[in-house]
Amino acid sequence: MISFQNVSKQYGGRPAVDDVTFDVPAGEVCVLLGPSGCGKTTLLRMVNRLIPKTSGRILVKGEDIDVVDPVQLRRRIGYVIQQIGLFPNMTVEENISVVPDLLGWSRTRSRARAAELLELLALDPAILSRYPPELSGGQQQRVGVARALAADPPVLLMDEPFGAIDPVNRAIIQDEFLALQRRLCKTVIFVSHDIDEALRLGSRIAILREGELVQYDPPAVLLAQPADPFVTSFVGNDRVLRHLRLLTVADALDEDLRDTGACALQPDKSLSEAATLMEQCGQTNLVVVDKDGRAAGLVRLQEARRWKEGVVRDHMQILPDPVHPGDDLHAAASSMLALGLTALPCIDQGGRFVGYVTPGGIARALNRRGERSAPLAAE
Amino acid sequence: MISGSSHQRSRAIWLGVIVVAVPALVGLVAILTKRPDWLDQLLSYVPDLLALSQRHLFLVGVSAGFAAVVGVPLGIVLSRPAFRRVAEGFMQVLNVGSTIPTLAVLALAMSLLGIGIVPAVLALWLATLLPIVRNTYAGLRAVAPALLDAADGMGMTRLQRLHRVELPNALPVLFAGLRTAATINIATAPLASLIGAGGYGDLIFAGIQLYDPIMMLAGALATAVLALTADGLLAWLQRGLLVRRRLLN
Repeated sequence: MISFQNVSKQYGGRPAVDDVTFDVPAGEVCVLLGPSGCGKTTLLRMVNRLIPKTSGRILVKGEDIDVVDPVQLRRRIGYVIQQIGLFPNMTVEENISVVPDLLGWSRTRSRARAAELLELLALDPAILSRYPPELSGGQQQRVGVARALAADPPVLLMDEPFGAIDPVNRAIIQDEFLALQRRLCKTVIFVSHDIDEALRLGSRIAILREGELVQYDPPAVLLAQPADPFVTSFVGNDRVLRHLRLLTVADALDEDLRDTGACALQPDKSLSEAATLMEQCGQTNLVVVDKDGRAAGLVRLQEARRWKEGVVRDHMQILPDPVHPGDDLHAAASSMLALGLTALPCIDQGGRFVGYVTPGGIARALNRRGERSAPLAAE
Repeated sequence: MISGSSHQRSRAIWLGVIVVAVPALVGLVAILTKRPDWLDQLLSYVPDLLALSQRHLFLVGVSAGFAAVVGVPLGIVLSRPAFRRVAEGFMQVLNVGSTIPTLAVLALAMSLLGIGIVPAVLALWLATLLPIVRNTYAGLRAVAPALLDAADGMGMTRLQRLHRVELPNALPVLFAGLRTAATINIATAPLASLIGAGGYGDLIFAGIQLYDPIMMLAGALATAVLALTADGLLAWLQRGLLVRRRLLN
């Protein structure tokens, strides 16, 4: 969809972007990541010709951007910037309709489109007649995205669009962006200096250093196999923990404890039997399931040994916040550590016990991910 | 922004009132107490004032109108990237030019064009041009770079960017320049009487020469009322144009 071929930009002999070549396939979010001054914004702005290239070619939908009139080119490419740049002299509706107006759409059509976009971005239609300074920062940024999407361009360029939003709202707007992207499947080039944002939003990440492309890979490969020490330092020493965000609980269910019947306790089991089972499974806690297979609670080995007499039902503790197969593994691992469990029970939406997340399961999931990504990295 | 906050502005106005208006009022009262029939005398100048108003308004209207017609486009042109190098130099020339007293400019204009309306309009035009050019230029240069980047990135042509984004956002500063210019113009216009162009200056200078303070006062009051009215009208227009669009609060 977007193809960079030996693209370079020099400012007074000093290269800002140095011989960069890569392709962004249609429908993917490519995050340009790097420290400030690495040329990521320059590279982005060369796509819609806000900055002229020194050499090389950029193709958008197979068409060389140099043969298209820059004004026409920009009207076909959505553009979102960190400072948002909503025009304070125009209402929200007029702001969203800027590109449709430039393209000569009828008023009814562009106004209908503005209303449709507000709905898409979950904004109150009442703000259509408001002016940008009257909106909150988050609302302004959503309107900025709506404005870029107005003429339904296949390509979006986003220059640190969520950089100026506070962390809580940033996470929310990032989730909304992902949901939106799943629906719209735009080809997006997204500039960021935040590794977490890149891992979260990017389907591919291009790491730049002093104008050179250092690594271009999907997030999982980037974490599993950083190309060089620079990338390693950039993704951080805690890259294993970051990697957990890319995995789900279902990826990390322990295969040794797959037999949910054999490694779960029934409420009427005696505590000594429970302790034996835990020792057999090599765990310091196990889940208690009722006869319908629903998770009822959990028993710790410590408890079972202390009481000896009695049945599981009387000594089980309430199950903490349920963990579901689709959940982010990072959150599950956090609660596992917080609760001091070696086997975190995972239950499905119906409350049925489906398996355990264990440290071994997590390690295997991380390894699997790395192995599976290896051929991709070699490409 | 050049105009500052409204709080600062109201303090400046009060300072002006204390420094200028209080002594003037004291002097006025001193003169008037010697002339018990001052009000009748003052009112007797009303027909003269009405006749002189036509000329005064003509001088002001033509010179200020031309200043706006020339000044705003000149400010726009100077703010364009192609002229950015020469713009600062040009502004300096205008700044130096504006330090020449209008009286001297009038004398120069007279020596070039003789006496009458034409040299007077020229001198007033010059005096009014500067604040308009300067504020138009400053207002356009002060438009946030992010707005320009967004406008370019969305595919506006230079002209579209100018009239959809730059000018609307420069309007508050531009308007401040127009108001300053209008006030300067009206208050300077009485000097035109010195080179035979007429207007309220006729009454003021005749009053000075005849040592008739009431006659002088009639011309001065009319000038002040006109300046305040013009400023009020522009303020009202500005309010209508800008506040509705949230460019001023």
